[in-house]
Amino acid sequence: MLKRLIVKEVKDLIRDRKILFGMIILPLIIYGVMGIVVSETTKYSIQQVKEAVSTGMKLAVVDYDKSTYSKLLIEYLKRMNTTIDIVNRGNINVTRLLASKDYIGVLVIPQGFSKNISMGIQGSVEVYVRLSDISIASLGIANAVIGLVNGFAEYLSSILISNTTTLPPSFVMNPIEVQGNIIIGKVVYSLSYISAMYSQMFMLPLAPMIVMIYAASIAATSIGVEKEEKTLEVLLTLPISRKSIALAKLTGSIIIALAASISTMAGFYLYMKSITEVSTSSQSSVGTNVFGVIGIGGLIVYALTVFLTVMVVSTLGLYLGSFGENVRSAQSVVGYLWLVVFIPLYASMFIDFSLTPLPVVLAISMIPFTSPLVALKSFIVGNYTYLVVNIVATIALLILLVFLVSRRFEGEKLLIGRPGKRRGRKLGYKFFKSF
Amino acid sequence: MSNVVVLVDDLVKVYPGNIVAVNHLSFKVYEGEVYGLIGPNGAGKTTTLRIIATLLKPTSGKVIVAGYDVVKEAEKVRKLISYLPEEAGAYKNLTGLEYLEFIAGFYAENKRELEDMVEEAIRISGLGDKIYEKISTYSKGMKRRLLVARTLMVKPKLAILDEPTSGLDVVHAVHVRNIIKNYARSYGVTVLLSSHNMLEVEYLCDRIGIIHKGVLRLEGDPKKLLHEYNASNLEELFSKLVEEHAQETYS
Ligand SMILES: Nc1ncnc2c1ncn2[C@@H]1O[C@H](COP(=O)(O)OP(=O)(O)OP(=O)(O)O)[C@@H](O)[C@H]1O
Ligand SMILES: [Mg+2]
Repeated sequence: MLKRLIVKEVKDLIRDRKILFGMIILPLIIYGVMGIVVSETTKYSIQQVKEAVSTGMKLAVVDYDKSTYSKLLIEYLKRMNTTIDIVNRGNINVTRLLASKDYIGVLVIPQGFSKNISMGIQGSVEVYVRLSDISIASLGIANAVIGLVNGFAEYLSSILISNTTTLPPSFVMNPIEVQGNIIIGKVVYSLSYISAMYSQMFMLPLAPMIVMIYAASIAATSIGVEKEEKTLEVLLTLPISRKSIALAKLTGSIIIALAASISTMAGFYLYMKSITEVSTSSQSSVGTNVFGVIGIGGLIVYALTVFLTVMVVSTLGLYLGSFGENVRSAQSVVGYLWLVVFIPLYASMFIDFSLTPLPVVLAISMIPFTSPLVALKSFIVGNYTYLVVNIVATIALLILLVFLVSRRFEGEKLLIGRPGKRRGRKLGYKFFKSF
Repeated sequence: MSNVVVLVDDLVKVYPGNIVAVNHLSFKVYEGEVYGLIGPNGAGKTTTLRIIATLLKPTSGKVIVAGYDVVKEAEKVRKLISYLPEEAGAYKNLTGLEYLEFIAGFYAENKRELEDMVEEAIRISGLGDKIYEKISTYSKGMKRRLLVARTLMVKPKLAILDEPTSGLDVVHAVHVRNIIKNYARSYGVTVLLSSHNMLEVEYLCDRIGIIHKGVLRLEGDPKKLLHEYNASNLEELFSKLVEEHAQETYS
């Protein structure tokens, strides 16, 4: 019996070209196009960075070493068409220095740099770049500055090779270690961390968000259309329990949403691949991709959280949609979901869990719909408390919603809809009245 | 006396906004009988039928279908009834055939029975090859015929038909009426219907109940009622009653 209903739901949804297109084909196209756009813009910004480099960059060099090799590096940088300010004061606050003039970056050469190199130990250079604008180009600048130092490292290799044979070859090939850092506000992050976060922060919430909104509107439509097409009355008198009807509607929407999630993930994979290819071909360290950072386990958990969230949103969509009288009003009630879904998602996207006090983080974790994002953050930060809290909260909400939906299908309000006198009042009123 | 299939006892239905749609209504429908509810627009016919069909809950009073309470044993009642709403649609993305198969699946015990039901429905609907086309391509009358067919094909213990022939042309209306009559005679299906068409009621119904403003005004065999009230047809009787009632409420 239930199977019959589910098959009908799925068939009915699939035959609707709009749904098929929106849920399954659109995500593929979106990601395909996005992949191309991102890889093209990346290529373009790499080009821009190259141009910026060739017309000269303004850098500050903090030289604590003040010796042979640090001087060699500075000379090299000057030859590379850059404007260099050398800062020789005692203790330098890099953040303040970077903000003081319009430096693109600050290089810090620590004490013992030259001594290390002459002894055959890698000399390290710290690179700091300020990030004010969230764009791929700004990461490109960081890479350009790092690229300069790497260029010097190659140059140094050639000198070392022609001068000596006693130093270990691995050192000679790689005499300098560059530590890339990104400053956001007053906080210093490592470049590789930021690059990995970047793509995730941009893309990962977007994927479930699209699926979630679709799932909600599909579920809402599935009840709205029964009212609009006047099929609900017959459906409700068939010899099946009302719970089965509600369950079939949910399962139908979830099956569609699942197909959409899979398609989204496939599209997302292609997207990641195309941007990873671009960044590796430009020899930068932006190449760190999500899979590398969160691993396969993380990806699976991420996919599961997407699915869980989709279930919650479908149920909510079905519940809210049942207050509408037709497809359009069902959809418009679901429109309110954007508020509830987007704001928490957006907020949790920009709040850095590692820098926020624990109670606040836990409170944020309790907000439903953020599961996919919380999952990612947990895997990046390596702390799974948030994720557990979030999943427990989400499941609790799901149970509550399923209860509300089945209660709604049990009663007669689903059918009568509008309360007599208040005809034409806002849907919100009806929604609150139902409690 | 034969078995009571529908027992409506002191039924009251008040919609939100204090609209009294059914006002202390009582009547019985016996097994194998065709019972017609007639009354002017807004009399409370649809409301009464929806309550019997387990869709709405009575405000007070009780409704029993074949021994089961429509509120407390709604699921049992749903197994025995087949309801044709006044305004109904069908899943327009399905073909007529798929729709019939979908519905039959809930009632049929095996494949054979399902096929019989569907075959029967195709015959009742008179849709011919149109049955293989999507419902979205049907005219209003075709849709109505499909829905009448789906309601009757399952041979329920009680068929609840809210204005079964509304929107049908004369030929098809006659066809449907004959089928309803035949169903009651040959399969012992009890039929409870509402109608505005007095000819239909006179032809079809063993007994009628005339309701007005949610109150049962008159009940009985249509032919006897005509004789009793000295009216030449039901239309006349109906007008007489409604006028009478209007005068009562004035004075
Ligand atoms: N959903 C509803 N909310 C509020 N009032 C309603 C609702 N449905 C019906 N009513 C009111 O209940 C009364 C009875 O309506 P009902 O539909 O039962 O009449 P009816 O006899 O079927 O009329 P018709 O011949 O026009 O189909 C009317 O006054 C109507 O306005
Ligand atoms: Mg009616």
